[in-house]
Amino acid sequence: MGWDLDRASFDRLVLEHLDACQRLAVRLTGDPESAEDVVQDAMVRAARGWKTFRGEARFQTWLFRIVINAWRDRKTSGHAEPLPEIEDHCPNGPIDQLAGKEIGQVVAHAVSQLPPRQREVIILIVYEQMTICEAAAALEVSEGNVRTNLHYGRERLREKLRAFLPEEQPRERQ
Amino acid sequence: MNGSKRPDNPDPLDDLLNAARWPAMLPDATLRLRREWQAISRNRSSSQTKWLQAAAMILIGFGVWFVVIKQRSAGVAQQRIVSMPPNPIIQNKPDIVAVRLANPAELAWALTAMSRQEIAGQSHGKSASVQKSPETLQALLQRDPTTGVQECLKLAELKHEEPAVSALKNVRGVAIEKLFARLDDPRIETRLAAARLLGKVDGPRVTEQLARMVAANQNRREALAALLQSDGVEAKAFLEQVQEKHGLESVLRSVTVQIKAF
Repeated sequence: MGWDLDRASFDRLVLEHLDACQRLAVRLTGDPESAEDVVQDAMVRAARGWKTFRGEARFQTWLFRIVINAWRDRKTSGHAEPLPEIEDHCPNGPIDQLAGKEIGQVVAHAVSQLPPRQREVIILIVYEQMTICEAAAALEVSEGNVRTNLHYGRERLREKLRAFLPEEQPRERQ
Repeated sequence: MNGSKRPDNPDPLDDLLNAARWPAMLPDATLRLRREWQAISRNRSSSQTKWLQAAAMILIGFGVWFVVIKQRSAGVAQQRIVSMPPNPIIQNKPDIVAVRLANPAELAWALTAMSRQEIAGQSHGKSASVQKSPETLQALLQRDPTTGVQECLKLAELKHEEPAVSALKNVRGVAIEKLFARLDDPRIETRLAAARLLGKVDGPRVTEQLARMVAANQNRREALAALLQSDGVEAKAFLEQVQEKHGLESVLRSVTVQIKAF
């Protein structure tokens, strides 16, 4: 795949990766409606800039970069994204919280509340199974930056989700 | 987890993160996006063809201009020859001179005549396809709203919607409802043509219905496309409100791009 990618192959590739783009957009926005708008915006951008794909990165990485940029622009344009209605602290403790609301939603909500760059890194690496190098390419930042954001993002999540984690045991220091 | 997991010291946070459950996509979202992509893709290739056609037209125009200039200079040369004293060589071979001087002019005439015919033919063909008076359309809309709306949509797709708009403004009622129904048409061209007509027909009731569609996320992009093409005060006020309160700038932007692409 490279320089000689023709329009028909490009169209096919976009359609093949549409589900992945939707999944990424839902994780970034935390809201299916906004996600659909982000993907539509990204599709318009991809159609305009399809010749900028030179095969240097994986197609998915290239397309994810467009989706992320569309989401960033949407955020900077002042669009407030609705987040799932989940309380951060349940007075009756995590067991009751688990009984009332699924833990999966609580975790997703915690990820959706991360600062944008940490959220992007966590989603790409933890959920999209990208390598540090691929995430750096998709986010157009250095690998060091990705590592830093991954570390701080994880620490923030650990703090937020402490109630659901087993008692802290002394861990090996790096 | 890539880049963070240490196999000899698993982090319970990873298990917890893997349990995350995100909201599901809206029903038919994939189908809608696929249709959208196919439409974007189709438009892109047609716009490329348009560029090629435009380039070809410029080249033809330049060629015609070049030939006309040649024709004029040939005419001047012919006049000069006439006014010059008789040259024995030319006098002996008048046919050769005539051919050499007359050919470019004939060629120019032939070419300009051809292009004139082509242009006339094209414009005639176009006007034949869009030649429908508002009265004819109005009568058709009253007699058979489905066919009438179909004709109006055809005109809107050709961007010759003026007679359709004035006919629809006079008829309204069922025809407008049928237009609203076409906002959900499988063809994006039809959806945008319907949006174009609704925007131009305008009126408080139309705007109100379009605003309700935007609020309910029912064919939101098409409803926004209609409102964007409306000159009505209510539509403009609603769009401002949408931008301020609901933050739909990016949707509006991509809809605007889509309208331009069509």
